[in-house]
Amino acid sequence: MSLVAESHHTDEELVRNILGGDEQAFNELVRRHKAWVITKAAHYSQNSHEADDLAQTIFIKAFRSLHTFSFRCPFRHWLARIATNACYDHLRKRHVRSWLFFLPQHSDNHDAPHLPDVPDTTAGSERDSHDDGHPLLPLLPTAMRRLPPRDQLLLTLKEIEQKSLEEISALTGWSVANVKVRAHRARHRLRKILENMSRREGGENLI
Amino acid sequence: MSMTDEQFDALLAEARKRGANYPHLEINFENRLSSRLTKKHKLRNFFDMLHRPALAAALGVLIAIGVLSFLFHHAAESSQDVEFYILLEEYSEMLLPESGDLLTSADIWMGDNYEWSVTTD
Repeated sequence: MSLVAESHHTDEELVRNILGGDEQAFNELVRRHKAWVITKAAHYSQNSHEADDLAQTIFIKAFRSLHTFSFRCPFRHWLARIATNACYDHLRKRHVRSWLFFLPQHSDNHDAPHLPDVPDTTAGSERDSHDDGHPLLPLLPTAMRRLPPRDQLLLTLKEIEQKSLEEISALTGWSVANVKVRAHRARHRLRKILENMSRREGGENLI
Repeated sequence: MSMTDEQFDALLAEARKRGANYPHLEINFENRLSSRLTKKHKLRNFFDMLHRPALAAALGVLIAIGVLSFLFHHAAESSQDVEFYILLEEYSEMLLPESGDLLTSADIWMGDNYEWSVTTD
């Protein structure tokens, strides 16, 4: 698969072309959507390599499932749902792996899912303020990984991606009431974990 | 001391701000995606080659072989047991002393298992 010239077709037309046998048209879909897909994958990953792999997995799943696309909603919404499911699967696999192989629930480099380990040359001023950020920010990734995968997914969707309850419900397939209750409990759990961690790491000064 | 709602919201807001600045690594993304897709294609083609009915038949044959070997093994064990008991019975009858016979060493050994009242002169 090689890079193709920009196409003026809509996403839906490209999907029709792919289903008609023109698999090269998938390149154009990847080119259009990879920015937000990689960003989303990064929210659920511990480093840039994991994010990259997860983003590719999302596109592979989308490619495999293109025949199920019903053309009733925009392609981006359909892809977002596939991406959310793939990210949830990724979190669950990581959770199981950590139990099976007794892996630590934290990484050495306190590398947040949303703070990849690559130098950011595009937003220098933002990255320079890393050291002056919230004192609990370095603990946040570890605290997040101590939550069950479902809670991690909900908190990331709600707090990091700022999705509404209705949007989360549409993405996950869970009812709005269910999402609301679970998100509230997840937030409470995360807060407790952070409080405990801050007590252990640096006394009361961190809060 | 516990964290207030404002502190917690400030922490999440900062995480959100940093999360929005993910530097996109676009080096060879398409190429690697392409190779992964091709690999999966190859793998899928391989499994497509093995038709599902053929796989089911192979699985059925394996299960049948397992069941039959278990049954044969069990039957062989049972027949061996029967043969052994018949042999033992014949052997014990052969060794059981007639009244007045001298005891052999085998009789003495068998005497632990059988009760009789034989006296030797």
